[in-house]
Amino acid sequence: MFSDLPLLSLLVWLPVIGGLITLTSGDRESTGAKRIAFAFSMATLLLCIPLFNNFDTTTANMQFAERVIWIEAFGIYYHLGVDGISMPLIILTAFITPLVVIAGWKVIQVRASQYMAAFLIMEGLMIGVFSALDAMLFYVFWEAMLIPMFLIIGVWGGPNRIYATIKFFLYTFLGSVLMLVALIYMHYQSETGSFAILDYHNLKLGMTEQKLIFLAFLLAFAVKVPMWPVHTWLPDAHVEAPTGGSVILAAIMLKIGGYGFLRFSLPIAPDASASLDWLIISMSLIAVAYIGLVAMVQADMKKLIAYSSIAHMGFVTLGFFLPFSIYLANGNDLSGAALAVEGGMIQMISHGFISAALFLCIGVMYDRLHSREIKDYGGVVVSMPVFASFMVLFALANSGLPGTSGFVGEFMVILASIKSSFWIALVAATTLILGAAYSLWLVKRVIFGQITNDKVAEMQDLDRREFIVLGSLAFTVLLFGVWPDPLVEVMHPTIDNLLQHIIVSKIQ
Amino acid sequence: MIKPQFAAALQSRFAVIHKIMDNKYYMDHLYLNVFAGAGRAVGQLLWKIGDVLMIDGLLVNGSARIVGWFSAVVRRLQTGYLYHYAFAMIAGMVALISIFVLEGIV
Repeated sequence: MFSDLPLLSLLVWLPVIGGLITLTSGDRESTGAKRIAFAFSMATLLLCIPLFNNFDTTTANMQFAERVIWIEAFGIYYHLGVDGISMPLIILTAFITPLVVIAGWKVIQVRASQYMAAFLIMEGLMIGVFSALDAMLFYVFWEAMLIPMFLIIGVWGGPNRIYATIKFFLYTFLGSVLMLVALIYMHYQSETGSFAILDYHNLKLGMTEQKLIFLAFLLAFAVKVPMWPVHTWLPDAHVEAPTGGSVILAAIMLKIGGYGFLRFSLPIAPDASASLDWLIISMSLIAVAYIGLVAMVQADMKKLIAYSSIAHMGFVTLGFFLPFSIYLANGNDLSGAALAVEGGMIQMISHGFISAALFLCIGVMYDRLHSREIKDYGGVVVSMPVFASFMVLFALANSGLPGTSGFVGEFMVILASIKSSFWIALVAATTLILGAAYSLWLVKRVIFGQITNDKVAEMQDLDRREFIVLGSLAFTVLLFGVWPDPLVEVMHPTIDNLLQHIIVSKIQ
Repeated sequence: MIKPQFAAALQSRFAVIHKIMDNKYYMDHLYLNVFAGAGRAVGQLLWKIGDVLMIDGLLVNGSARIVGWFSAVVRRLQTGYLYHYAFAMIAGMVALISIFVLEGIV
């Protein structure tokens, strides 16, 4: 039934069209706009069912491919397709967006239709980034994505939103311009003058070229992830962004950086990746230890979760760049390398759920008390017992408790890092202490203890909408915690293929 | 209890041991003040010095400040007076021509 439908195009453009329709519905009667936005985001989520069902888990080839000439003079195609790396990220995007729409239902009263439209258009563009197989198409989606996020933080954000948006924009833009240069350079290097990303994978490149391309990509993706030391835009952006903006930023936008490493850096510049892997590994370990300690001393809840996101994403980049040292230490140990990269991927998906949930939890409290300061809370469990249970669950998942999805990815990466070097594993494992320290100390100060602020005693527990949002996230966090197999099964052939690809040197 | 004063007698005789045991070998004290305290202090240091001062203060906002400072200086060249611009043109011409003549390009 769905086999002849352009499924990926629908996934990209349905939310964008939905966003435009939402815009036209106007702000006078905002419930209408919210209903339209919800309908379109749910329709997009439903489209993921055929995407998941018809996905062939036995091949690493691109599936659901669509290819139409776009700009003939430059050989630019409208080329979409997914593999085991991008498909889970598309489903994550489609899953989180309806939750953001529901979470903004009561809170957003100013320019509601524009707010909802921004998120829908954002959703389409992010799915576009994950499914684009033409470098120029990818770049267009990549840059276009900044605009709705810029507006979301700049219009609905906190008092210092202008500084945060400019910082966010300049940081990201600086990185992506160098990426554009690398993409165009490879276009001229390919014999057929192609912009196809898969052609870039097979492009023969010398070591110097590879290193320059690798560094150009690194800047673009490291800012997005974000990796230490180009991470300082993230805490500012999170603090100023409205709850929905923080959720999309943490759950999906950061993953685009990690996705870029797998789609571009590793397969295009495998030799440079192998010789510069120490750089990424050290930046990742610094992110885990340094940022973990910084997260602990934050007084602002959103800043704390923002720093915790950076530390968790450090695990992702660590996993992605472990294969070379595992190969070196164990003689082309493919299963060990796969453990590292799959661990990083699972960590990305899991962090998408957990960070979204934690930002939504903070949003729930912020809507009631209008403060993000930890010291204004305490004893929330007395007035909001249901909420407190959710918050404790997500905090435990954030600290990597077995049985939650947060554990699986971290465990796999730590296990793989032991195969690489004991010292890497030792530093990586500090996350188990630091993660528990900042997550549980946050819970202790906010949820438990004596009520010192009278307003906390008057806080109402979750309403139906908030319960649905947090409940569905709790369900997925637990589901992938005890049963991560479907996820591994989907990505396994693609990651195996990638790992076999990066062993082979590209230098002639 | 046959002799309730027995415990008190023991306590006063082995006061040091009692104090150590009463404080659980000072394990909680060690964790709370040494490990957690040091963690917080290091975290505070990394945040204030590393993130706020070095990365944000020096690199991010510092580079913006240098651009602002540079443009504040360069801005003074744009006086809006025609004779300033004409003078700059003549000075430039003289400089270029003398370079060309001295280097023997023309």
